[in-house]
Amino acid sequence: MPDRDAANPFETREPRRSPLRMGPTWCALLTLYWLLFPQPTYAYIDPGTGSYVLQVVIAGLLGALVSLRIYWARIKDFFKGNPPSGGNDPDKHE
Amino acid sequence: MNESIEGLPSSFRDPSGFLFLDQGVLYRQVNRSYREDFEHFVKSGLCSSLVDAGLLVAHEEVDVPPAESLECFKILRPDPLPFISYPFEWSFSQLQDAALTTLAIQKRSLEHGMSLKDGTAYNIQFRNGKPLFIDTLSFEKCSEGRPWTAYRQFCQHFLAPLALASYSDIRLSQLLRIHLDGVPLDLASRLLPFHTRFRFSLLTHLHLHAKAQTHYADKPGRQVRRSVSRRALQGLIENLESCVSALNWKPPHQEWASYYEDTNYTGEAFRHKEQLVGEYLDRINPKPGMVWDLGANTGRFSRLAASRGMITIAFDLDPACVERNYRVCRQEGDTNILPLWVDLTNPSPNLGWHGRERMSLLDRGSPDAVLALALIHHLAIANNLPLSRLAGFFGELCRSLIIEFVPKTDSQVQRLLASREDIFPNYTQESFEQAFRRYFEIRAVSQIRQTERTLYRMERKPL
Repeated sequence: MPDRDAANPFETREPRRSPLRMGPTWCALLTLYWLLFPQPTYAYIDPGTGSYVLQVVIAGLLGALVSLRIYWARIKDFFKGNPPSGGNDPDKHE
Repeated sequence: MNESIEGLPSSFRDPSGFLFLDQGVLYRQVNRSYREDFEHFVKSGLCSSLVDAGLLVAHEEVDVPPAESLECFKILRPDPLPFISYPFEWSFSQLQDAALTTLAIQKRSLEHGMSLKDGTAYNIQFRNGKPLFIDTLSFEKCSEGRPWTAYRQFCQHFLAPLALASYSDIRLSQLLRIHLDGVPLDLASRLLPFHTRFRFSLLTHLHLHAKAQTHYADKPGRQVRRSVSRRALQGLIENLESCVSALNWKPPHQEWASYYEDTNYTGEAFRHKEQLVGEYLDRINPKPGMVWDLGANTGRFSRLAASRGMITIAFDLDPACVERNYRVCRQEGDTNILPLWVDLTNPSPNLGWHGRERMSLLDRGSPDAVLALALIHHLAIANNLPLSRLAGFFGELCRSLIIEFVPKTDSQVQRLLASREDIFPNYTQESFEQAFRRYFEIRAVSQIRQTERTLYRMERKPL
């Protein structure tokens, strides 16, 4: 659920702080990736095929960023002398 | 199927089960084919975790005759909802909150080894002022490497209309009324301003997504060997969350924010009207369970009913008013009001397969009482509706009516008549009373102080 607005109900909501908010660099990288590595499609005709393919590409990039975030947190923990927290790593359950 | 059992016309797509009514009580049949997923949903703790967090409607397993016994694994009785609303009736923030709720549920599902198998906005309803997921059978075990099957639907049902409202025009969110499976992404991409391509999340989830759909639409038969890791799925959901949260809508004009100050009411007149409406509501016997406030504006009078414990649906045709009403309700924790964006002269019709998949507004419930304040002149003068038809409409709709008559001499009516010929010789208080007496008994009449307006309390005559 989003944060509730402050006193003025029309005050602009601050976007969530997320390391995944991208700039033009990432747009360029993504476009390059898209152009250089087109992916094959699925086994059956499905209007979702394009969605599926796009998702594989985007999620791959975003997943790499999640990994970076986790490792960065571990590096920071190491230098601060904190015990490793394990981060918010969904793969640790796998 | 047993004769007393009636399958819901909206519940036919998912083979996992369906909804049915038995003697007016709503049940959900879980089919055998969904057994493994359902057992994991319950045993993994995901079900209770979502219910406890107020994200998913609670249900009870019951022992009643199934609607289709060969298929039946279990019968559930979900907690009833007071009113069903549809995404094209929601304000911007309602749709945004519904989107964030869907993503929060997907995140929690991934933590429990499950995933949402559909991302339709119709799986969300508003209860106690908050979005609530209502489809208990939407969860599937998440096989390793499989992408989120509901990604396309999420983008079409939530992201596209929100981006269009935010960057183009709020009225474009009404495309949801035409496209029941969400706004086609190629259409959204074409309608969005060019500069939205410079925002990573909109570039990818909408513009490139639309291109990918078009590109692969006619390329069947090949296989994808790439898969999506759990971490990548988490990244995708977090990015969608950040993208949806960053969208915002501000009305292009600001006068609505002070709409009540733009009327010809003085402070004293306003207070008197509030006092009268409150007294009239208190006098309705039995106490109404549900009130519809038609032309509710930003909901000031809806709050009078809501504060008396009445579930109040506050309709208005101005999306800015509905938006403001919702934001105020959310901020103040007002749980009895549901603001909805509806044009009373063109209310939501029956839609979808067989014209029965989504119900018309008037089929979705009948209010015990209706508030029609500062409304009648808009319908009669601006929309040329004869008083007899208005009286017939209200007579069909409710048993108790609190209605304000605004005479021609009122400045607001004069404003409506300023640029047109007065073709309404019958728009008088006498004709109004005569028309409504055909269906209602007038129980109370009060002149609102310092105005020329009159407030009526009416009770429908026995049929």
